[in-house]
Amino acid sequence: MFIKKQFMLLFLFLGILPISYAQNNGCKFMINGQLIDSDTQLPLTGATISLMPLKKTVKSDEHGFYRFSSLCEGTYTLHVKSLGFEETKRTIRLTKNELINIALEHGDITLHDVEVVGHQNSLKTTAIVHTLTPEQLNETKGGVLAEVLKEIPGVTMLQTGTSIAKPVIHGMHSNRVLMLNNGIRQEGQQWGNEHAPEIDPFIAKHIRVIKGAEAVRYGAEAIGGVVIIDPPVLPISPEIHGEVDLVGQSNGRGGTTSAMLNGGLTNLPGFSWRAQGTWKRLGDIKSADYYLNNSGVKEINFSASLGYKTSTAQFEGYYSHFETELGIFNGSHIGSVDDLRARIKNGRPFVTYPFSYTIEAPRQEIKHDLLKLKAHKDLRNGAQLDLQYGLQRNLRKEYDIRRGGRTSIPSLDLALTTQNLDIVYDHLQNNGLRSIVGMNLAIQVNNNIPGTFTTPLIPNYDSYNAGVFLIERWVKSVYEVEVGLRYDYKYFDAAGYRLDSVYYAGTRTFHNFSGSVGATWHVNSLLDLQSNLGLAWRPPSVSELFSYGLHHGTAAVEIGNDQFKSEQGVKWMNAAKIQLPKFDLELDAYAHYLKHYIYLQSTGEFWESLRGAFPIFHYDQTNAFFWGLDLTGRYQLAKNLHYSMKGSLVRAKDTKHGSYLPWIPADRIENSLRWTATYTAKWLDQIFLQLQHQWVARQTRYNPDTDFAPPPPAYGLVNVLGGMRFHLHQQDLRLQAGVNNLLNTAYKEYMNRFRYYAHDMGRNITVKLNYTF
Amino acid sequence: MNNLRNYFILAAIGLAAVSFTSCSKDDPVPEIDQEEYDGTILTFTEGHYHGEEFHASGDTVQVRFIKGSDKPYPSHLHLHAGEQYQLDIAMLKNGEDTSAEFEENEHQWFFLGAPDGVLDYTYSDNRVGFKGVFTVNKATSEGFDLQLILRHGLDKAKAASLSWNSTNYQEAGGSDDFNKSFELHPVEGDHDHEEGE
Repeated sequence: MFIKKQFMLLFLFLGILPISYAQNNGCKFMINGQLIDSDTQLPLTGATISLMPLKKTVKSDEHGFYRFSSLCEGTYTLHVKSLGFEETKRTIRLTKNELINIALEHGDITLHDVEVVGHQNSLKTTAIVHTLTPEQLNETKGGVLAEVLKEIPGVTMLQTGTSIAKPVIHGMHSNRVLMLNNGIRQEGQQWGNEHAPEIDPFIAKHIRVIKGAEAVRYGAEAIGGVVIIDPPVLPISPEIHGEVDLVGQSNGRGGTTSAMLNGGLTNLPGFSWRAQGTWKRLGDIKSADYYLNNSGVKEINFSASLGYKTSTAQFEGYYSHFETELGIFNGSHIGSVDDLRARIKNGRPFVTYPFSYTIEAPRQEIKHDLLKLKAHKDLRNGAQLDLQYGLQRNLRKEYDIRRGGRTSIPSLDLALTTQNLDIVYDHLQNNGLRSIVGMNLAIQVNNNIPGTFTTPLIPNYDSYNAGVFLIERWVKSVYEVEVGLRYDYKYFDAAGYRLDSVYYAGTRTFHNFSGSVGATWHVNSLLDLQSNLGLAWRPPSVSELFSYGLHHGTAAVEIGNDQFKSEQGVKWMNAAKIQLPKFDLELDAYAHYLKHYIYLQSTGEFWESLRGAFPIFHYDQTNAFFWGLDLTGRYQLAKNLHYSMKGSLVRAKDTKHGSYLPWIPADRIENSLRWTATYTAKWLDQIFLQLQHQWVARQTRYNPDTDFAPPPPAYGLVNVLGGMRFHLHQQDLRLQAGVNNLLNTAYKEYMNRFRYYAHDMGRNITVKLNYTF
Repeated sequence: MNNLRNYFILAAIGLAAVSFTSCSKDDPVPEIDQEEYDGTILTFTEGHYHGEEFHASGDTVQVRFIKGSDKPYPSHLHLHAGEQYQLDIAMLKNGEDTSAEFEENEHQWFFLGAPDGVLDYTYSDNRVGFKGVFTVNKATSEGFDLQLILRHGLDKAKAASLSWNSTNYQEAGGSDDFNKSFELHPVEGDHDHEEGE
């Protein structure tokens, strides 16, 4: 045993503690250790450890570890408290660094009321991380992932109609935003603006967004930001618990059902499992005064997870399947640029149809499978080792309106297989230095499945990636400093046919160093300051290198360039958090410079076909500068009335040509008033009512040469939402009802690619029911 | 418990091994683009009505549009005032006429650009326009661009689609399958018969 029993004493009155610790010389000692549950021998997370008489308090981390540093020689008492456990005290005479592991006994009364959570990787970083609150997750249920993420200031959506949305972080999206789904890099056909992430938002219990360029930890493509989505942690207790969600919406006349069950295996201690499934069905969405024909959705997702835990190790197997069929608004199907111009001039569809659930061409059918195997080990020296393997298969079929019965043949049929292997070693050393060393390997194979009778837009390819990184982090009580370095290698081997049936093949190799420096300063209990400088990179995507064809969605011929260099970005991200008793404020400010920024540039030339002429766009590289601000504020107006505000602005320019960049979100601000009832009964609480106004300015900073139509005018939307929670024994029932776009305003969003053809969604009434047991 | 751990590791290695075997791309297969066609041929045949039926029995002139060329051949065509012509349109793919693929319920040709009163047109098929009859009412001093537009996915019940020269045809919905022009010059009957210049 490491515990020095001879030093153990029990102090009844803290006030009479000797004050010998106040010596200045030699305040360099440390007490650390691990808390475990004496019963299960599992690490105890979130327990409070107070060090008396210093009145310093820390919480045990997700592996039960705690630490006090910069201590002087002296006598101290550790008070350990955790809900459901007996309070435990240890007293120690400190003359050198001490390792004190404590096993906590269960309290008599509350044995099974304890929520014991398993392993959840917390983010140990100075990067600016925004986490969605459980309320935000509850209130956005039923929406697509990007709609959920939009709750975070600075995050917007790039939409293709009403059913396809991608998250945009500070003006960056697609291959410039990395998504980690349950720890594995999400690999779909991200290059396409009309390709939404294949993730079921119902599985996400923890959603975090890093707005900085965190390429060191996560690798290439984290140039614009990282979205981290995690399922709930597996339970430890053997009882079966679960959750059922029902979401109904008036617009689209459908909804979503989701259910989740988890528990342990009584005969096999240490084992736990979870099963989850979601079903979604929507018909045609209605804009303010007409239906968007063929905008329905069908979605079926399920996942299963099995875990095994010992006191020092965890193993997890996870499998998920995502399957969706999306209708693409018919009025967006155009045969030529003349069609496009005629529709832009009309501003709304020429022909509208009554409501229908039918999904017909143009449509997308996507299947995404993920298998993850993970092993985690807590080592004797306090370090952790994580080993993780991921296998993903993404099948994407896109159907267009075709002649001669070929509508049932996909015009795009892609199979993308990705394998990832990640190894991370995380060591907290005695001197307060935390070292994280890691390696990521990935192999990717993309194949066009023949038989589409359409020349593929992107080639078949193999891609190999290897990356190694090192992050050093000093954690002191008022500040944290982090430095990271990464090296990446990517090999790319592609072959395909161009639109004019010419065969092409080629390999490309990319090398890159990334780096980051970050610091957090806890100025005082009211103010936190954070600053992070990230150097990130992104290899050109396959479409940017090899596109050579007609992009039907935009009626443009897009031509890539296989000689492109990698994009290099430096993002400086700063955050200030102020917390006063009645007032919270969070301000993020950033500046982002990208060298070799890739974008689509009009050539002014036309490609002649028998259908008519199509404008030719070339992918081009330039240098770009982005800066912006995100602001969140919350003020308590009265005891049960809160006002909150959320706003963001992005400015982006092509610094080489002095022009504006396309698809940059316009300035927006959201104001809400939330009334929370003081009334609570044994069976009823959390009653609230919220009134919200969203305002989006017209984007005035655009380049007419890269777009077909000027941005739509500014718009304002009014939303209301209310809810309550019922308790029934050990069960909770949450009820929420709301109306989005209450005034049924007809509007168009600049970031919706279908603004050329139609208006955005009209009034939508939602009812949400959540039952937890 | 160590056994279980080993099973996990074994399973991981096994799966990795199985899937790593297929870690190379397939050879690309060239696709024959079925939605594109290589050419469109307009055939004008002189003739006249016998009752309801049109007998195309006279001289034949053609205008060809070839993929990859932005000009029709010939670029200029003379038709005779006072005569009637049957127009047959063929959409060619690898030398074969694929016009039958253009389903009659969702396709329609429109012919725009003729000065008022110069041309009349009657659809001979079910208002699709792959077969129809042009009547040249009078000669014009100069030629004009006759724009030929094939729409698909339109709503044929809409008023905008009822007329062969409906300039607001886009209001019937649908999108372009073909959109090209050639210069048509109606000339007096005794004018020299010229094809192409």
